[in-house]
Amino acid sequence: MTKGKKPLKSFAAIVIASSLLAWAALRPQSAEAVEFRLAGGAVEEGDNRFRPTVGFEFVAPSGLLGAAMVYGRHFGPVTEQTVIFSGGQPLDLFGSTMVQGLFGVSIISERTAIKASDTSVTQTDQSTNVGGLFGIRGKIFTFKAFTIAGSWESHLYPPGFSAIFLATGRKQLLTLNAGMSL
Amino acid sequence: MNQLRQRLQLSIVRLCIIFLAPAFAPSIASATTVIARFGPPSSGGGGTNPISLPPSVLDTEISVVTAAKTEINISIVPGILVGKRFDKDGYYGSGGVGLIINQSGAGVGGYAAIGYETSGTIKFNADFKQALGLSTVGLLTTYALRIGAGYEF
Repeated sequence: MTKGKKPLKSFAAIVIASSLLAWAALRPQSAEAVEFRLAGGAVEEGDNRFRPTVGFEFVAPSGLLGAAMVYGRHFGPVTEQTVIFSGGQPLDLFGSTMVQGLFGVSIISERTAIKASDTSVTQTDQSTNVGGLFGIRGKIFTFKAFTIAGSWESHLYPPGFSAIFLATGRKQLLTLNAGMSL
Repeated sequence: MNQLRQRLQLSIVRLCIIFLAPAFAPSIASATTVIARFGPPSSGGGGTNPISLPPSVLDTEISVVTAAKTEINISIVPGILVGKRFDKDGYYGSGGVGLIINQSGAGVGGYAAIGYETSGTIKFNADFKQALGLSTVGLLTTYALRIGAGYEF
């Protein structure tokens, strides 16, 4: 393969991918369509500090929503990775189909790895928890099968046996998502 | 800074007058529900602590919902909030604005709540409320998951 053909192939791939996305976005929306969305935003963990998060969402024809959001950070020998899986039922609670309330279930998996510089040993700690999902979602822009939406969600997890006293830990997610019906 | 604080306080007072006046005016002759909810709030210092037994003032929230579905929520955290409620089959969503309070201070902002409430004169109520505010020290975030009971007058 010569160097001159690489830009041509990349250009062709971009054109084909863009055409497919445009076709999918512009075709009429079906009532039985499933919807995929890419999401990005910020997560806050109870300390008023927001950090970036990305993920994807899936909306079934019944309206049930599933999502996976990932965030983490790497500083020195420490690597933190968190994945939040959630599923819920949006309800038209605000007198409009453009804004919905959301009730559901959330599963969190947190992994922290520490690798000392003078050894090849890595210590890892993995924890999971199951909790509730509460939030609101709103459609910002809709054009045929293409949608841009926003959400403000709270994922509440009981900290052990204190759940009986209503104690919770929260991951607050503020996200924008864009996707299309397929 | 003092001028900014004075203006902020004046804005909050004006905001409260604007929302409180219509909220009370039409509701005098019609059904109004008063709800007492209990549950520990998160005030910006991590998650919530277990609820005090009996519940402390910090764990308590009083809500007034007028016949016009205007709601006034009074608590230390998330704060003093006025908004509109929308009901559907026992579930409800509400949103509005007000004074948001957490450990970092107080500021103006908005809230959204979703919940469930039974019908009848005496009502069971479960409510999750999240709020975002802006103050001179930055962004304020709070939430509270509370349960309680209401009485319809």
